[in-house]
Amino acid sequence: MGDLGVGIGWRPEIDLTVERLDGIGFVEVIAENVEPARLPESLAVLRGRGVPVVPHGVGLGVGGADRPDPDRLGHLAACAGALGSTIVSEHLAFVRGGGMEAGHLLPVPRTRDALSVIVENVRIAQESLPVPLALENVAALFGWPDDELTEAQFLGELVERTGVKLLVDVANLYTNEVNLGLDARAALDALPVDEVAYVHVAGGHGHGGIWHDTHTASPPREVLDLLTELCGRTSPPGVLLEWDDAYPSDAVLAGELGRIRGAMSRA
Amino acid sequence: MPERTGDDARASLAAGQAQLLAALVAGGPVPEGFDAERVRVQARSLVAKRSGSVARVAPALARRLGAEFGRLFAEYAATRPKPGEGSRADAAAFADWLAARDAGGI
Repeated sequence: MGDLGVGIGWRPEIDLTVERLDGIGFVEVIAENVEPARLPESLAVLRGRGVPVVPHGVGLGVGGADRPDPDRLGHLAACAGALGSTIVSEHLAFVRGGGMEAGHLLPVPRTRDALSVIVENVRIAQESLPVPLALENVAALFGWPDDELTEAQFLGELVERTGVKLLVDVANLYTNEVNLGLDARAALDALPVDEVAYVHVAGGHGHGGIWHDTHTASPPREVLDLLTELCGRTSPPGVLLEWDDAYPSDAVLAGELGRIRGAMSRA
Repeated sequence: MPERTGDDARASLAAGQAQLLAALVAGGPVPEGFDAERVRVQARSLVAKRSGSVARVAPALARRLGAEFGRLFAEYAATRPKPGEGSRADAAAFADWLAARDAGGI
């Protein structure tokens, strides 16, 4: 998908900011928040300038026990079509089950059984999408008791068996290191980093020894250090800042993109 | 464990995920083997995210409840999963729950 450069998550609240920021290489839009037939004008402006837009799904639940919903896949496909996207991204997560919605991305049990189900789910998704799919590692507050594989091993197997691309979220790796004691650098070592489509960077807040990946604060140095580590192992096609609420000024966001570029250049 | 495929694997994944979700969003027991405290932290975090979404789609309701909003929403959400239709349906169900509560029905 070529060189995307440094980007930012497009959100309606910061649409004009995203248009004004210098050197934006690409943006992401939350797929569930747009109608392909009625795209926000700001996204059309960015597309008109040739800025790539990646539909980023949060509701598919490809890590769930049910086969992916054709309507949700159709929506992702329509978003990719309307936006001229070259890739669609989602998460290695489940979001519903037993008739209940989690309203958030939850980690999957990393067993061989679950892997076989999710391999099939990913293949179903890939067959429905007009462009490649990338899956993101998630932030977790808990692990499953019967995990047989690490998240990096699990994603590596998915890549090998389905050809799915990776969206590596270094803030999520940091979150899991703080919350679950999982070594983020070991995860980078184990991931097939040459299959990385792009990277997420975000900030959060620590409370009582737990890191909450809120996307509402400046990414801590530890997260940027992980970005540097990743860039030492591969040259990711793109790196994107996620900021979801409590939006700061344009100047602050520009400064954060500068910090990201700095971390990439230190590799 | 050797890898099973097909319906057996789906059924066992479905059962595990449904049990965990019941603990996270419907007030069910924490399934065996999980860190109970962390599951509670996750459950609180899901309610916080959900209440933030409801406050965004129903700002008048959030203003009316003021400082009580968070506590009342947590009480409502403790045993009621988020409706599949999304935050507007959640806000409507919360408003109904409040009305029933005020009428002495709860």
